[in-house]
Amino acid sequence: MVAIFVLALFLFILLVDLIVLRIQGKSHPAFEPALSQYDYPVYDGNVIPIPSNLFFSKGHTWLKKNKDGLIEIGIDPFGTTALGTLLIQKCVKSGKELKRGEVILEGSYGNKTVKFLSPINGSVKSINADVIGKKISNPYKAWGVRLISKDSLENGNLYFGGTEALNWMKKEFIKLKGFIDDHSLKVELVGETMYDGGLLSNNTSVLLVDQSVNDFEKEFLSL
Amino acid sequence: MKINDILKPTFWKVVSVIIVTMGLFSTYYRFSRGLGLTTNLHDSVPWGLWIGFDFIGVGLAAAGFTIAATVHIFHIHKYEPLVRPAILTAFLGYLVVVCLLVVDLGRPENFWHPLVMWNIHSVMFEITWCLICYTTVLILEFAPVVLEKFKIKAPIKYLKIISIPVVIAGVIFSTLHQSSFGSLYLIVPGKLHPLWYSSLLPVHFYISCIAAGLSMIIFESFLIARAFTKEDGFHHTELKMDILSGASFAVLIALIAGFLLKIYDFIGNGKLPLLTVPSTETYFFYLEILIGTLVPIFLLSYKKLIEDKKWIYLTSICVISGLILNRLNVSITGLASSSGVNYFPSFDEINITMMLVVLAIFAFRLIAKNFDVFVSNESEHSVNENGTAKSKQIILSERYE
Repeated sequence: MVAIFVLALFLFILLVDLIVLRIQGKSHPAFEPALSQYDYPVYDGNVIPIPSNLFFSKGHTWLKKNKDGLIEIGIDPFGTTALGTLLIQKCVKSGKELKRGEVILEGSYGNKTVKFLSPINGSVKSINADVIGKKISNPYKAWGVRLISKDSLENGNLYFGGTEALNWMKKEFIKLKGFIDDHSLKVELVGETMYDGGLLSNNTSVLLVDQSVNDFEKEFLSL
Repeated sequence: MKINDILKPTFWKVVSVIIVTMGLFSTYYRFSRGLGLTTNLHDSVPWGLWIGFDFIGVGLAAAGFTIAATVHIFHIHKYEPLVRPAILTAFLGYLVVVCLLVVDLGRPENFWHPLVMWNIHSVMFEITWCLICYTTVLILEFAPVVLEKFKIKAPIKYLKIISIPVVIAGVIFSTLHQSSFGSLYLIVPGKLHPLWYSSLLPVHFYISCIAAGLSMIIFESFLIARAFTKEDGFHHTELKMDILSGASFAVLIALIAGFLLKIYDFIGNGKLPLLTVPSTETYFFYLEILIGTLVPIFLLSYKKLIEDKKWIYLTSICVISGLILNRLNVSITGLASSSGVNYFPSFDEINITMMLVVLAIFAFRLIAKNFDVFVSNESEHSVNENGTAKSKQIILSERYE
């Protein structure tokens, strides 16, 4: 009976761990959806690069530290395309002492406005007026705000880089597919768009119910 | 990690504290009152849960020598990221075994006797020395990680020079004592149930520990991916499926070899009729073979499943479960009918065992957090000759044709 007891205890602990993870809303690594099945291009003909020298925040902004110590912040490819084509409408004002979590950029998908939060504390030194109101073709060139900060970008709790950023971004797109599915006005359209190799469209936001943008900000743009 | 993060209660932290607290009380009772009052061991059943766990711990720690040999002797460097976690696991596994042995000794203050009072005709003497020597080898193999941390470079150079002989010594010591655990039972042919007794028992033990040790590393990779997140500052703990699939294939080979050996043993020694005798031992044997050998062989034989992390994980659990059943069947179940006593461990035996396992997990986490246990053979953040960030792009989407 000792053998059965020890084996049962071992399996019981594994089972409890799975239940704890489920309660916490997490997945065990063995049972997470395989990413490869989602590895089709999410945008027509394009792949999304994650440059190894950039950091990414959970609020879908990228950060790059320049040699002069200034940190450039822009919207990452997910943010610029998630619910359609993003147009940046407003930037925070130059000279402002910005706290992490305050609104740094405002943009719109069609007629729906979204707010991007500052991923870092700092003093805004300059803003890039060239990006306002224009379609962003290369998100990594279109920085929105330059600031100086005492915070470190190496803080693994707050910023992703390299492979981590890659895996996180993949999961965000997987999450987005579920989000659009849940918030769509016409489910049958989402079926065609999002599955069976379907691609995200340029005006996904029109498919969504009104409350969707608030939920999108909570799910994808909060820090 | 800040002190607040460490003190922040989580489900498993609370459970661990309870287990360790109970274990400490039981340890105190065991050393203050003796084995007789705190365990269910007696003259008819002198070896119980602790010896069974010694076998399990050493068996599951076998990846230390298999991975080290694969990388450093056979130069299959694909498995390099597994070396340090495997050696650390082996080291901690052996420490648990040593602690359990000390707790299990009737006169623990005499634990050093085998070092000076040699009985070269005893298998236990060989096991003791192999355990000591292999633990030393593991310390030497892991020493560079510690020295790197404290930037003590001079000894690392010498350790690198002797690394190959050290790894070879580790393989030899492991081979000797892993099989010797089986040899221990060669002296009880009339007591150990014939389903498990065999003159090939040392070979069975050796082959099964290779499969289980590799499975343990696979299982542990998932635990690491589950427990060590980027929030903890771990950047190279993500699952590498090609490595896990390769290790699973090696598990398959070892399982098939072990199963063929068992068939040879049963046919050669005329033990096949025993499989039809309805008894507790027969059912336990079937369970062991089914969970630990047949199901994993079946699952790992499918290319699709061996490349699927879910099935790799489940298979590793099966193989580990098989080793747990096998070692406890040999050390307890198989001896029950001859001793005439139905042994079940006492509360204190269970407490102390669980405490040591929890402490080993805690030590692993502590060491992994503070030393470079997880290294990647590729650095995504390396800089080029000009000192600028590498222009290599990590592509999010790849086409799978």
